Amino acid sequence: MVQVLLVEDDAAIRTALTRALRDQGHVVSAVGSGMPALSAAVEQKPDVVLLDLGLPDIDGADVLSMLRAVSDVPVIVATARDDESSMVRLLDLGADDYVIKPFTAAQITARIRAVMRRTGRTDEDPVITVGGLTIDTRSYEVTVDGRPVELARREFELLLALARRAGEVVTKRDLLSEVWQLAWGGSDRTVDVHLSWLRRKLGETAAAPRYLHSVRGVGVRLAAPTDPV
Amino acid sequence: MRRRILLLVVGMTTLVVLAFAIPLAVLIRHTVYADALTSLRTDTSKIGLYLRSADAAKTSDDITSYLASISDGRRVSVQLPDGSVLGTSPPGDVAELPDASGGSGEPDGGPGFGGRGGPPDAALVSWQGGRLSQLVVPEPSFRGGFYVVRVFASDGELHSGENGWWLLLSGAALALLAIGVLAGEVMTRRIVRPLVETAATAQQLSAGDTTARAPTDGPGEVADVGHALNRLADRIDELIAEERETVADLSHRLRTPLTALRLDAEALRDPTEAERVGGHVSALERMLTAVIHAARRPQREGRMPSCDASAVVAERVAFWSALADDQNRACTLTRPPAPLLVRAGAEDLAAALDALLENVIAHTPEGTAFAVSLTPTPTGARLEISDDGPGLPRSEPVRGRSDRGSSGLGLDIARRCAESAGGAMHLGSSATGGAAIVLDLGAP
Repeated sequence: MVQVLLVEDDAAIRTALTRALRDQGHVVSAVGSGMPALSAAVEQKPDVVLLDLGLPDIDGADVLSMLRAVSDVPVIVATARDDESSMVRLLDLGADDYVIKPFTAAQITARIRAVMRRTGRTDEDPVITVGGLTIDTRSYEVTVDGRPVELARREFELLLALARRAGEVVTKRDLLSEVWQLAWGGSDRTVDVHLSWLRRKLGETAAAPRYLHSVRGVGVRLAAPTDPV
Repeated sequence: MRRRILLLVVGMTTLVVLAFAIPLAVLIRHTVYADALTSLRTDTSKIGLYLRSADAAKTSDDITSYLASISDGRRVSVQLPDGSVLGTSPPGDVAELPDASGGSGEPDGGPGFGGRGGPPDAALVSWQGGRLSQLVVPEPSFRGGFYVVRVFASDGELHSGENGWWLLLSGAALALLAIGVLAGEVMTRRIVRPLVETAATAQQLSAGDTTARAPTDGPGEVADVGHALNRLADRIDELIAEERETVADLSHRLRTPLTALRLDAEALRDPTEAERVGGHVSALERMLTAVIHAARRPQREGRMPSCDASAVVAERVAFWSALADDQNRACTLTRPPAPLLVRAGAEDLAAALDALLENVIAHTPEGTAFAVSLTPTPTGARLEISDDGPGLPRSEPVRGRSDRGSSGLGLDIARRCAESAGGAMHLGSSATGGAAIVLDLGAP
């Protein structure tokens, strides 16, 4: 259970997101402008703040700066702008992560989880082990049978998404949503090509899988080599 | 304009030359004629003095040779007291001539030597299409006889001295005209060249090249036009940039209600309905992203994007090779080793190639080989993606047109890339009957 402070001026998003996050077991308090957000952040001491940039009273970026002056609570910024310069600016201002609109509740949950993990505010074990595969979620290090594996960011996120649900078949749709932030868009081939790279780097092939098993028509399952396929 | 300025210069110069030349010509004609008449009378008097000089008796031969020396092409004659004539008589019947001592025949001067010893004074009359100078000289021996000296020049001879002047005058007029034309041509060039360049700039601007700028080094007024056009081009640039920024900004704002829509779609109880509405939201989102992408393109890639197609193709084919290997697809890449520049941003070209490779993988069975070849052409480059699959369906709305995720906007992305690079996309068949898609890309 994570206590989330949602700062969002759009009532429709606020209501929908509050409901979605509560459904996932989070405690949500929602405010619609900057000043109440600052006082709530100080008084309620939330575990994470989800901050929308377009606020009616104070600019979201200013709220972020002010918040950083008084608290080190993890902040995820929700923004409509996806250009690199605005991202860099937000991260420089002290945001821990960002999510680009339009997002899904699943993406927000994944971001919250990732931020909590990175900032060490979770009970979850930072190291996930599946057979000989270990994934350190803090240092972004992956080893297979003790051998380090260099992964690109997307590949790491893909592996992590699968590892966190090890043994389960994860649909490509879920992966697109969680890793690529493309809920209904995107192409299965995008997942396929990254899976191929992941296989190469883990030292296996589609024909002779060890950890990554494609389940035709359904999705992908990550399992230890000894697990029954 | 050049022709008109030249015509104006020629016209003005001609007018000025005429304004001076006509009075000058009248003056010359008058002066030359007057000089000729004076010479006629002077020569008549000279002959008179010669005849009158009493130094020695003159034989007919003496007189004849003296007349020849003084004639200068005119008819010079002396009528002796006995009535015989030496030299060349004037035309016509001299008997009809008025008496040299006066009477009819419009004597211009005095009648002759009055025996006073003064200078001989010839009389001038108009005679037979010319002028005749006549002088009566008494015999030096005072025998009572008279010589009659006659010098005749036709009008043509009287005016013959003008020819040289005419030549000089027309030479000077022509020279002035030539100088005028030359100066006009130089001046015209100075005015016309920047004007022509300014017009070319305006054409470039209207053709969409907003980087074109006019020269500002001509004459003041033309330079002003250049400056004004350049300011206009700058302003167009600003307006386009502002417009694009507005579009991007509006599209960004649309993402907020879209988020609410997406969250609500997710919350729908019926999963089929949730997926259907979610699909619509995703389609809307993709279009919005495409709009923002297009609006921001110049900011991202500059106004004239270009990239090394060879490097982009190599990089993307390498990226897809992992999946190709997994699916046992043989993948052949042909590309020039040297950089091959094309008029497309690296990101756009990569997206186009990704879409086409993704189509091959999505629409051909596993194990189907495909080939990517990049070759230079006179106009830029040709990128061909061919496969050994079943080939393209016959109807035009070819695969990849669906807006439902799987192959994205496939061919549309590729077509847009080729067209914005000044080329085109062609669909065809490969040697093995599979699909072959050719993108012609222009050089930057």
